[in-house]
Amino acid sequence: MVRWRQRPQEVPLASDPSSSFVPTIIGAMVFLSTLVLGAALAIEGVADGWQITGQQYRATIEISRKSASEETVATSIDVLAQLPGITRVRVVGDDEILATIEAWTGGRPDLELLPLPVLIDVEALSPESLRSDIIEQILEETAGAVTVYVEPQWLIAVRSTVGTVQLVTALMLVIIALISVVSIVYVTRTALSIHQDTIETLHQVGAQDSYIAIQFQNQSLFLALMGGIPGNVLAILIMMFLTRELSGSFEAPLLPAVSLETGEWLFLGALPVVAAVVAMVAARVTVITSLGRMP
Amino acid sequence: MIRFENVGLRYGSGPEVLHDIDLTLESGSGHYLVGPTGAGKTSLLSLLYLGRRPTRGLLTMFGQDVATATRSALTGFRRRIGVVFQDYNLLDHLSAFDNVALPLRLVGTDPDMVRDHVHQLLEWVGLDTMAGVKPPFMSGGEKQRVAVARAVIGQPDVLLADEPTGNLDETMADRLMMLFMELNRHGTTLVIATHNTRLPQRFPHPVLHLQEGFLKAGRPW
Repeated sequence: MVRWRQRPQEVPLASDPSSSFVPTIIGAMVFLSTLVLGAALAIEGVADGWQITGQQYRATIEISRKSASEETVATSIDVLAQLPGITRVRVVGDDEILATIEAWTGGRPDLELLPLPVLIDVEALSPESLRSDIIEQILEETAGAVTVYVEPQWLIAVRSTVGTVQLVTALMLVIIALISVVSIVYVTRTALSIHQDTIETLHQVGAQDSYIAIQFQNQSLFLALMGGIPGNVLAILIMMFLTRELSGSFEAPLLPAVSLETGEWLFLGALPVVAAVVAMVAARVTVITSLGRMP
Repeated sequence: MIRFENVGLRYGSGPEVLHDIDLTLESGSGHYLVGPTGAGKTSLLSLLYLGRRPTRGLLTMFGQDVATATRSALTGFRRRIGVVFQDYNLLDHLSAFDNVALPLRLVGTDPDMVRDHVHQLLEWVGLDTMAGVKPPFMSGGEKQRVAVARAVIGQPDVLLADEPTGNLDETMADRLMMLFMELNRHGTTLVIATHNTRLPQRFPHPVLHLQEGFLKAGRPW
């Protein structure tokens, strides 16, 4: 039969001043990181809606279906693929074209009845590789007159802004994580100092460093969860309120909704666990390192 | 089993407190460590219980040089050494039971066995009714008995005691000394630091005489 017995905590960490400090600092850090990460995910969701995520620049080439034999299209793709800076070339499938225009036609139209062009999607690493005049000139020999639609400058600017926001978000999360780790290291060192006599006694009766470290890491884990969960819940409630308010405020149906998917909410909800694990590891490493310097 | 060769000890950058200690403690031997206050008895004991490493010379314990032993090896050695500290070094937030149980719990002894052993030993030192009491609510003599129980519960190979009878009446002191002698008869190496001149007469064993950090030949009295 498995029996659970409550073991006394040999290092009395529960009575330390850090018992209130750690939940407060971790709670604040989790609150901030949940908001920052939530905002980043929401922005990425909006960017996804506008199809401006990723690092690729895009152009769409229209070739008249009359002049677009299979051979012409294949040759054009080969020519485009060999241009400097081009990373991807593909023919947009008919199903994809029909699905796109379905919203306007009110049903799936017959491709034979509509004068739809053949569309080729081109992706490049820089906008310089997608100059419409050059592409038109190159394809004139193989496909005759073509029309090149390069994504507009404002979209490029938005993409750049989204990239900057993502970078700033990542930096903020790193700073938050660093502040949390530094706080835990400071608190753990203080606790080691406070309980030096107890630790020496434990060593004397045969405790290994890892045995002592477990007490510190468990305490950090517990305190980080104590602070992290309320901070996370509060931030998620604020996020829910804001996404609901923002989603309702835009009347234009073409604008994508500011919202998070279920998986993203769950990801945000897991942040206290991540913070607690980071706190636990930070405490353990601090204790093992500090005790390693003792005789 | 324990060998000191030209051992010296200093605290930080202070003066040397132990000088040129040459000493061999055979397995199962028993010694008293005597000397005036400040002679270095506690410092010598701290080397023996591996609270410190020598600043010079060679100290070997269980066949290994202490200076080069890994931390993990030192932990293994400490588990074979029982110590009764002069100021008891009990954990004030733990009960007498939990203090005595500590050495057994650290090596993962079965909880039922821990309970039985601890109660048996607390009964032997006359503290069975105080198992749940914490050290701040105990007298000096009671703390000393808890410290003795904690030191012997793991049946150590080496037992070190710093003034183990200092706060005890004569009857209880004799009772604890008889326990020490019994452990010594069963092979535990014993070193007792004491000012009590009665102990070496009543429980005879060789005397190590420390004076001003030097180990001297013969008894001081």
